[in-house]
Amino acid sequence: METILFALSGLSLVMVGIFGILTKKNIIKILLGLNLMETGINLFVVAMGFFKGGKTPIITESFTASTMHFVDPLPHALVLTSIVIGLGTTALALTLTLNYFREHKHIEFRGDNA
Amino acid sequence: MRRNESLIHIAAFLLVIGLSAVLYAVFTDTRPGLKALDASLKERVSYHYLLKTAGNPAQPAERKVTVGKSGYEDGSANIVTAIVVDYRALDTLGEVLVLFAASAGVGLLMSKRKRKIETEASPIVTTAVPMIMLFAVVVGLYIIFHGHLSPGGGFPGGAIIASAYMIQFLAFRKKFSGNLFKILESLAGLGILGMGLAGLYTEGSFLANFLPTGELGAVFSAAGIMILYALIGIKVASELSSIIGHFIGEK
Repeated sequence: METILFALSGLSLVMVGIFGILTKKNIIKILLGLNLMETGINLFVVAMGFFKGGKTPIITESFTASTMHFVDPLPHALVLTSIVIGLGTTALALTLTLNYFREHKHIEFRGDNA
Repeated sequence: MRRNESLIHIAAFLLVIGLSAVLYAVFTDTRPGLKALDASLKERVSYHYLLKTAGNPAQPAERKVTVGKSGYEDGSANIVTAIVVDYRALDTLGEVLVLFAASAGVGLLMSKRKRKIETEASPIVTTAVPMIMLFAVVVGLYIIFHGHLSPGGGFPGGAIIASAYMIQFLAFRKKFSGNLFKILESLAGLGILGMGLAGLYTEGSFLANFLPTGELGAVFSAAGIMILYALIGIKVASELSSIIGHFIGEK
């Protein structure tokens, strides 16, 4: 049940992001929606490896031998990659937004200037 | 025009509601069969590849790495780090390359621009910033060099060091010469490639762990992971600092 709640809360963030991307016209708000989607996907991937009572996947003196106490560490590693790539793409997108602003003096997608 | 906008809003809302209904149905399905979140613990990757033991803390001789089914293990107590920097290190190399591409793209697209607002920082800021910078650099180095023991590693540590650069940039507007970051970044990238080739030469596979694992849980254990994470930290810090420098602009 906890895992389902975890996964569904991540997916609800994805839904908020999709709604923002589809309806907003300001480029900054679209980027915010993209980042919300990315965060939701990251939470969802982490939720895939979660089970109730799972410990942090670090070997300490309390949890020495078996790895079965731990939540699945593989999604964590994948999400680490995803976060860094999201940062890079966001920086690049903001730069493109700045160039758009210099060209058009606004950052809204309007119907008249195509 | 107005009407079209509200139609788009309604259509997007209905789409989101439909997707949510499908996902909710998938995750709360009670019919027999394999569920979306139903994987057994023994089907996990870590069950087959990560068999480590820290042993009895009273007897340090037992604190060693047990070789698992894969045949190769490293001495990292943090299993996420072991995956990121050892077993799936090629992914991390690609990730670092993506970050490099983003940094280079920002540098290419962001032409030189002047800052519009020029105000002197107040004495409170100029006094506090060096102390905060020192603290941030120390914390960043700590996180980088304890990546195999605690949560953290090269990426968050590099980001913290880049934030130290950012606050000094905001307070004093001193910019390091543009070549410094490029040189650091290139050297770190070459170092990562050199580690990979050394693993290829000694162990037979690219980026394989060829250094001694050491005692599990000690600060100087998992030498390969420590060196790789230090190189990644240098690379990430210089790339993020270069992005920050481009965003803030020149005097």
